Amino acid sequence: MKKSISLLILILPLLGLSIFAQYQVEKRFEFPLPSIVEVKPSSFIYFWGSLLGLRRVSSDLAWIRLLQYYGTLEGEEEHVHHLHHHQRGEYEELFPMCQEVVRLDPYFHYAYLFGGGTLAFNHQRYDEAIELLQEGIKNNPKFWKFRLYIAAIVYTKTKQYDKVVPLLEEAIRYRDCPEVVKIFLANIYKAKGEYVKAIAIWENILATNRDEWARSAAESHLKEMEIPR
Amino acid sequence: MKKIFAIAEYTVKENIRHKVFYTILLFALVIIISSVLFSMLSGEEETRVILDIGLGAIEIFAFLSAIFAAVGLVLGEMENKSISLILTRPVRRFEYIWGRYSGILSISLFNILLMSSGLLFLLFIKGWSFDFRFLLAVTFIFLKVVIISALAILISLISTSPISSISMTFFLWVLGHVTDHLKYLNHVLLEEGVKITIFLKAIYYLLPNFQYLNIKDYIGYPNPLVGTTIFWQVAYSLAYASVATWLSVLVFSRKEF
Repeated sequence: MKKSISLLILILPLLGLSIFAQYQVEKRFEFPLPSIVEVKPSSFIYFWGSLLGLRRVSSDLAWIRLLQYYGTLEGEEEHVHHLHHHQRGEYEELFPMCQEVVRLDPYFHYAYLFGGGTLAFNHQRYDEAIELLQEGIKNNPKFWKFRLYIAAIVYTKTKQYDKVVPLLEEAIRYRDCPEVVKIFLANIYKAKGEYVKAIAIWENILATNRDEWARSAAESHLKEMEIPR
Repeated sequence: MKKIFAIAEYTVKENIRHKVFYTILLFALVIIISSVLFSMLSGEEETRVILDIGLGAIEIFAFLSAIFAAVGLVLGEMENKSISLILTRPVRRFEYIWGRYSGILSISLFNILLMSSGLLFLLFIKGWSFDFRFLLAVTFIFLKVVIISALAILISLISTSPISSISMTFFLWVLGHVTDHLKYLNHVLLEEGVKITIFLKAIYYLLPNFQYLNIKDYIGYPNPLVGTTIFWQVAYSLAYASVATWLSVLVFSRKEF
């Protein structure tokens, strides 16, 4: 009995210290992820992933699922290849799938850039693109590229292409620039008759990208401009 | 202290002889390597996917090896009565528990370091540039294992079968990752007019809180942790694990063999 009491005397201050330390952590650091209940994930896999402390893995799985979805032809056009994405389907689920990825991991910068760029430049869904990028700004106020993309999307929406070009030229200088932005800029150059600049972008895509669709698009554009690869 | 070291050494040796240890380690390395396959499907985010799956695998397998060691060795020894052989020697009960616990932590640390080296090797091959937060994430994975191993020993002393011990530990692992939801639940209940704030707060502070230690899940958060927060997180983990281990000593000292 005496032994048990002396052990309890040892345990109680330690318990106090653990509670105090936890309180100190909470006081200094606000937990930076939204509750999984609020995220309402579409799959129980993401839900369980979060419960097991694998939230970023869940976000990665949702990201891979999004890429699989976007890489698959929709509906009747399944026999056709190498079409531009907006000719391959509407991809209605693209926006909610992007939202799910970034709500599972609000600091997944590339997912915002990819989603925003694809929705705006491939599907002309400017409002959804801007909404996604604004969510990005809310979660990552210091990540300035989202503002750059929003500006480019707004100018594209209002067809002020002369203002879009310098913004996109800046965007493609960074390693994490999605291919969709490069392709969009190359198409603007082509439409404006600035073929040398367009060819440089297509060649860059061929040299650096492994995505089959982007590569075949680059090849067909270069072929069209009679640059054999 | 010498006796604690001797039991820890014995625990490490016993663990190494166990087939489960190698199976878990091998499976973890396979998962880490197979993360390369997943990364191939992830477009431009290859290194991110390898990093995330790798860190996830390190944590889950460190957790599994810790609970199997805690439950298998302590409960197994009590079931087959071989514990009497140890306790007939001049070993005090608290030395036995702390020795076992130190041994489990040593083997977990070895596992984590081995798996982290494998993951780092894979990341460097893929052209990843080293980020200090990787070390922080791995350190905090170990802190989570420090807590869960202590709880696993405590539960294995209270429960009657290995299955119930493992499931209860697993349940605590899950609960530890959703402690923040208790605040959400409290908020919802308050809106409904149900006032159990004190009760929920008590549960909140008594359950292990793994959320804040789960740095690998918010590794991309733009405002990194500062030194004092890290200090309090380490203090929390050590204090909580000590409480659980001394409770194990308390339970163990009252057991009769």
